[in-house]
Amino acid sequence: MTYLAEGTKTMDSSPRRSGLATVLSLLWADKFATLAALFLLLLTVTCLVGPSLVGDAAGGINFAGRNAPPQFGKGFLYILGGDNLGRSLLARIIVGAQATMGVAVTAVVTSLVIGALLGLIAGYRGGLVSDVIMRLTDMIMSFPSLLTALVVLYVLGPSVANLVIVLAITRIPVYLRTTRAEVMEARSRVFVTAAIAMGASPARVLFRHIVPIVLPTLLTIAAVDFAAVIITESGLSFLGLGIQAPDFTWGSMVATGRNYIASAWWLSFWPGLAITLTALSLNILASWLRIVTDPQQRWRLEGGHRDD
Amino acid sequence: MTEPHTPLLAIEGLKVQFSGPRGVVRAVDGINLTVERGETLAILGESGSGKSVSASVVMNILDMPPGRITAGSVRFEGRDLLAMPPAERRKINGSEIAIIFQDPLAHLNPVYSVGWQIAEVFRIHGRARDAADAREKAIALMERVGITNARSRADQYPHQFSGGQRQRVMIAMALALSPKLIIADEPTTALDVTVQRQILDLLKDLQREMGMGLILITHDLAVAGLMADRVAIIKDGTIVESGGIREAFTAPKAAYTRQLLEAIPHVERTRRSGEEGELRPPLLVARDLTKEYQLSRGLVGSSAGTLRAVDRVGFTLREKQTLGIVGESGSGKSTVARLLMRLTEPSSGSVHYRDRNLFLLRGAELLAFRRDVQMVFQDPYGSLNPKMTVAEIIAEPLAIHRDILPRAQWRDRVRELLGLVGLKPEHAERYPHQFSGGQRQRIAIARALASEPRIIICDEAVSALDVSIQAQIITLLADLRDKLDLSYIFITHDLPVVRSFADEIMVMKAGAVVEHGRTDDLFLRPRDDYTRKLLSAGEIPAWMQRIETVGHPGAPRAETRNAP
Amino acid sequence: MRFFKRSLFTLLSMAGLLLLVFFLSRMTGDPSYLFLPLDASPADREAFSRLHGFDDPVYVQFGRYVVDLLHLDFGRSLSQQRSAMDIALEAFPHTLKLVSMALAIAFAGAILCGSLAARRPGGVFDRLISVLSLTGASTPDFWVAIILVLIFAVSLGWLPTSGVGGPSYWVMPLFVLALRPFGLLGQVVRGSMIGALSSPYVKTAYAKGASQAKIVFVHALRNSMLPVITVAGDLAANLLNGAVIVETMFGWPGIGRLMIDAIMQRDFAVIQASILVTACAILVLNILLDIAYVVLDPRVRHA
Repeated sequence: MTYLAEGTKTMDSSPRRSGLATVLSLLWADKFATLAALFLLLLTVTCLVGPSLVGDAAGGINFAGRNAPPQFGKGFLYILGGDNLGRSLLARIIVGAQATMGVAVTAVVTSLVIGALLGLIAGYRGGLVSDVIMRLTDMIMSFPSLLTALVVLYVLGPSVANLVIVLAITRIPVYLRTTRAEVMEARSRVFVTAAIAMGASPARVLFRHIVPIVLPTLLTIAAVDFAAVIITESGLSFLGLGIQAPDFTWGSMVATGRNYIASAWWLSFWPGLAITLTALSLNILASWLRIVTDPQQRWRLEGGHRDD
Repeated sequence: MTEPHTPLLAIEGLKVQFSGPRGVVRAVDGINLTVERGETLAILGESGSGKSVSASVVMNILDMPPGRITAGSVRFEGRDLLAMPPAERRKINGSEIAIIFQDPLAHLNPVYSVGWQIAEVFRIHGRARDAADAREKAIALMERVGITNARSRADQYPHQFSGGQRQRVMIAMALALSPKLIIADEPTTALDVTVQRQILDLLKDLQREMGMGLILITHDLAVAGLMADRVAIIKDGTIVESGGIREAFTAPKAAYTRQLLEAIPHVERTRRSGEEGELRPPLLVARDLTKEYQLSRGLVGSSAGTLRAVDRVGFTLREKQTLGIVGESGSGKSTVARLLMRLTEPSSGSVHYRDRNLFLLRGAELLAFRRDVQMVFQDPYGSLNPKMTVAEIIAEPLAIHRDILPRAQWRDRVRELLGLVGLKPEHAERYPHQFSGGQRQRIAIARALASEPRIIICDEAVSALDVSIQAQIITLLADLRDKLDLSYIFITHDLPVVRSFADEIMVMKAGAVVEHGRTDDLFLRPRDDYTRKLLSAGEIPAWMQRIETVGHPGAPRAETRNAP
Repeated sequence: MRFFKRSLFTLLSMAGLLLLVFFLSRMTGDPSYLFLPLDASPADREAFSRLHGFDDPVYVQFGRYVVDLLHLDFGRSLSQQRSAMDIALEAFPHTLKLVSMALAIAFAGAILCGSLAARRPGGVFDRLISVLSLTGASTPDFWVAIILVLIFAVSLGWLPTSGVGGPSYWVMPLFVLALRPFGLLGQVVRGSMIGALSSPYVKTAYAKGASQAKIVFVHALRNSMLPVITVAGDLAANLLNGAVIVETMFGWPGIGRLMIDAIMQRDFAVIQASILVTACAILVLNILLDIAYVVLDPRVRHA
């Protein structure tokens, strides 16, 4: 058995393990990624179940608890303190999670689907169609997304639907460009040419050969983008053009707290921290995904490597 | 040698390890080498043998980590390079020992001019008065290595030169300070065959003129035979044979040496289909096939001319026949392959498959064509989808052409095909990355056979493989042809390889056919100058041709023409 | 001409944007809702519409819009009773100064830290930088701003909370604005330098006997700059996003804050003017980037 290249590969006779088991062991190999995944799991559960548990505490006005500092005295709901109207911050963060996540998930899924589809078409077909799509994308990308969002929301009115639409449209280019680049790269690979030479239909080539290559990168981008959308939406809410009262997201909570920086810092701190931790978890997970999906790097996580 | 004498370079007991994902690999496991002034030592080995690692150690450019030198010494004129302090070691590189790399495009900095990079050697070692002086010296060097218009070309960038010229630039850089030792690491592998001889001749001239020691690292026995005085054959990190080159090749002591010698395409060991003189029915007929590309410039789109990639090519491929298409890069042979597979449309001309015009086929007929004509590609790493199992890869033609075999029988068919190409049934559930290059080509061949084709087009199918593996794959292809009545179109740049395998050969240059004839006629009585050039460039030195099947009578031989 | 792809498309972009603004403002039925305060009476609205010709057919309005554009006339700001363009042009230099300084700091810091991290991938410094840049990319800028204000202005009193003035007024805004670009660019520089340092032509330089410094700063750096410039270009537009928030937080009288205020005050003329000024600035930036690319990479010149 000859070596493939300068001392790096021998023949490996181990069969693959089941998909899920592999993923979990790869995850465990990177402790930060494990933490991130757990945090996101907790967050998801909170979003789904949380509001029904603590909803009342988030809504009811309680003058006695106005700007209450974090404490254990008033029961566990107030360990993060109370806001300017005395409502439990913890409860509001839990309820706000649903709104924040809801907007983000919708925007990301929409832009991913549309962006990926357009990218697939642009990358596979090439030619005029591709050029036109790319030029439109470049146009959207060249102007700061926040400013575009501001203007559009101003003109059309800041409803939740408009917010999601604006966020989705400004993110589409990211997915589109990446998908197109990946599709073009995959298209030039020899095994794709081989499939076409064997008589495979475009559909088969796309879904059997190209999509499996593109998908991992797409998921990685989606994770990073998710974080970016949350931060953008928070920024918009902070500036007053996002979700409008009485609905609230973490961003608008930070905005409210801004007026009380000196007296009650916890109003802005905890919601902001929630945003940061969520974005951080997503970025860490994206980083992990990048290593896992790159065959060159993946060995760092497999079975641990031995130094001599 | 009875008196104490210091060789120019002496490597003793060198051991180098790499730590990687699957543990520790011993790339070099105790080698001893010497080189004298004025002599050429060839280090001969296949990929992964450790030859380039050794060169990297001598030049102090090994990546450490992941590499590590665990034992040994490298003495240059008596001084141990490995034990030297870094500043002193740095002074030797470029001025006393220099290296010429394999791939000149990658090894030249793309953002600086060629003249600047050559002049840099002078500047680093303080051998020029100023920048202008260094530039003059660089220009003189460029002229010495045979680059015309050196003065104006010195300001150009690497991408503006051809492959051969870039290698001349690298040679110029190596020669700049008249080093005592030059290492040439596969200096001609990335170049066209006709250019290869020029570069090798240049190196030989320069060595004679300057009297330096030359270490030539190569996998090509003919190159070694041409250039070297002594040879060291390296396998798996150890030297299995060393000594004067003629002795080593005519009376090899190691089995591996014999294996390498046997793999040289030898005129005696041909595997042609035998039945000459019989005109079998034509399968594929090309007439005046032409493909032109428009070269456009800028946004305005006015074309700067057309490029004729394929220029009125014509031939007839009959049943059970093997046609070889030989040419260097830019000859158009790969474009012809793409046209024949209908992966691209011609500008004019036609191809008829069984009397039907290939480019007019549609629907079911086109699909039938794609069943009958399959292709094996050059790149064994890229031609298999890394995410599919071997079974899925081989069965893909069955999945595309549902009428060949019902799904239930695919498993058995896959096993049968694996057996045909010399692989085992349990390989079906593994993934491509678990196999070597030669094995992957076997998988690609199995895939090509799945749809029971009539014609297989091999586009440089063995070019990326080691020499000994090449011989195995060609033997496999010949066996399959005999068993399954296949026709082949074998495209290559390597004339000797195709001599043993093809009935007819077509030589292409710049898109056109310059010569076309039966193999023996072409080799013995070439009519075109270019064919003659190719032949002499690929020629094995005379003294090597006389080596008989380098075996003892009992050694297994490939069958000759007259075998049943 | 083909060298200026980026600029060309930004130009088209601008045209598209201005068209968009025009149609958006006419799309919502009664444009006066955009210009007048919400509690204006119907009579006022009618008078306003007639005065500004909003009841004319669309193409006439468009014609007038284009003419006004060419005269750089966006109308008068309702809150300040001055030409909207003048107001925008006054605010812009403040933003320009802030953003350029932030970009310069982020760029210089990224090159320094990225190069140092690339020299020993996986080492202590490298991991530290990775953590920092990851954190930088995950924290919302307004939150960082609030925390900084809390610590340095409110508790410690070292820095002012808002406004323009001497160096102390610049510290926090610059820090917040440069944080994310620094993190992003640092990662790109690091990746790019690792690639360059392990490339074959660097091996050649070692084989010629070049010193470590020469290899990093002459051979590797120039080649790594190409992807960095591309990313920096994309980033610059996004810096303006950050500027909006930073200016709002720190009361910086730049164009970002101007837009937010204009939105709050429903002063559409100012909004339009601000958009145009910003778009022009981005166009200029892209032209400069295109030039930089041509200068740095000879392969582009001779393609």
